[in-house]
Amino acid sequence: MNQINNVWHLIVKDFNIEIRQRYILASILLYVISTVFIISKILQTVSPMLWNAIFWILFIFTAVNAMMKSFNQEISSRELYYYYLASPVEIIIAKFIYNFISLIIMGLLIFGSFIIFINNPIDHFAIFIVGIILGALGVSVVFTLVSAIASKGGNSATLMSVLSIPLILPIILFNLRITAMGLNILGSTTFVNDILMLLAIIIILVGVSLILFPQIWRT
Amino acid sequence: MKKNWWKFLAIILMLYVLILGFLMPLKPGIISVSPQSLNAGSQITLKVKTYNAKLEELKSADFRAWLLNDTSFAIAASKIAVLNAQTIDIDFEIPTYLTSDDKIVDYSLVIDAPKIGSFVLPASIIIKQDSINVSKGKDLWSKGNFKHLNHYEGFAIPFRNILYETLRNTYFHVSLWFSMFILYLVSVIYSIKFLRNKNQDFDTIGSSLVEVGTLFGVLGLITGSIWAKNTWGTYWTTDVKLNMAAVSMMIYAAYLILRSSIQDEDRKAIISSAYNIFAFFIIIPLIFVIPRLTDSLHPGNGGNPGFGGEDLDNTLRLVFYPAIIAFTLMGFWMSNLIIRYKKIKQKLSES
Repeated sequence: MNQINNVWHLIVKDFNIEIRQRYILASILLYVISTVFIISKILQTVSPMLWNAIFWILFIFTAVNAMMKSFNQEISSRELYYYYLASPVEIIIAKFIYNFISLIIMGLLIFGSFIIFINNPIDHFAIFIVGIILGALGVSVVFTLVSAIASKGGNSATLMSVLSIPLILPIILFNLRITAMGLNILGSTTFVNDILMLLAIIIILVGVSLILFPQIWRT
Repeated sequence: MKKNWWKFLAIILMLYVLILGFLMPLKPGIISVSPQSLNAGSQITLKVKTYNAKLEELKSADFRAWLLNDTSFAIAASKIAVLNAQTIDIDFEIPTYLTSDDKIVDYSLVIDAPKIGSFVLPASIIIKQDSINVSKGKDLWSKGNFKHLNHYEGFAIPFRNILYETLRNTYFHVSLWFSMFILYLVSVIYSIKFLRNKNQDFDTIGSSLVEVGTLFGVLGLITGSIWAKNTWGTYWTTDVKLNMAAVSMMIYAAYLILRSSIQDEDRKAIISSAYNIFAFFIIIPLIFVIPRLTDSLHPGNGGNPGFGGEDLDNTLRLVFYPAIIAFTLMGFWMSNLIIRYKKIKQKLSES
């Protein structure tokens, strides 16, 4: 019970920081909207296949930008304070959940601005939303651990993008398939199969990160 | 000396692979036939280009040839003449009726001779018929006397169309990927060992294995790329297996960047070990799961992503399995040298 409480408080703390430093949220919002605007100006007509590809590219880069700060903002003295208050497993679970929620919001934001500024080729809305949620889940799992690694590695801005983009590829490929089904580019016969496969990969990665994170955190 | 027996084994196996791999000849085969489309009821001379068929040693009378679409329906050649070291002229009298009720039927050409055995170009010749009479056709096509085939004398690797001599690359390209994966697996085991008891030696071993494994991976990409140029006609395609392999190399390149970006030795060891374990679990779906979901030019669809069961012949296995062992042992030897270099460097910096 105490652990769940700790996790909850850590999540609330992250959201409080987010709300207090409003410029981070605003800058991500501006980043998304201006990029979508540029895309819509460059590509006058966008085919569903291109729409899908651009959506995930923007999703990854926004996520890299947003996740970069997920451990960077923890100043060393505050880090020491957490070290006494909560166990590393609680800290990473809290970060997972916080990143997951913020990525879903971000994904929906990108989705919305795509519909407004580009066009709306969605056929099966539910499948596409499932794709966004699973994408947020997978990306948050990989990027949380990678941002912890990168923040311990010093030069974190370049390191974060070098480490995270190749690692995210298997998850993004599954998500591309799922959202392609939502756009009716791909037949949805393998829908359940793909989701189970993606979930299996994510579960393995969550397990690995729960074991590895305490080791990184202690350095 | 006793401790280093495996290094001698590596050298012996490597020499065995190089010598046998390059010297074992290819079985005879047919490269091309012209013309490829015939009419039923005509008399035709096929110009057949062969490979490794030892035509200078054999006489025209030694050869037998058939056209068949099933082992029970075949016609024999009426006349065979060896032209030069590569080409044979084979005369056939095509019967008026074929064995099927289709307008167009494809037939395979089989050539047989003592010592070199029989060889075939499957579905190589298309025969067109105007009038259809299946029962008469079956009667006409059963006079081929297709039996008592010879066998190849000696050791030779199979002749495969398009691949030809590049088949030997199996020993290098595929073995390099195998031994790369073994090296990565062992390095993950050492990374786990390091995280358990923080012995700096384990990290040195793990990171050296990753370095050699990445070298093997890059060599695997290069050999594959050269092979693709010779068989598919291009160095690189957008094929899923090629791209996943390239991405896994990027992941390990990122590992090397990560290691060089951290100055503090203890921290470098812990963080890179953690990354190594995490990366390995992402490599597994990249190499073993995703290629099975999509179509690919690369051999081995539906089963093992590397190659299919039918692609390996027993004579290939004779060299291929030792090649895997040889490359793996070589990899361990190379990483051993890197480990010693790193330890000496560490001692020098301490003193």
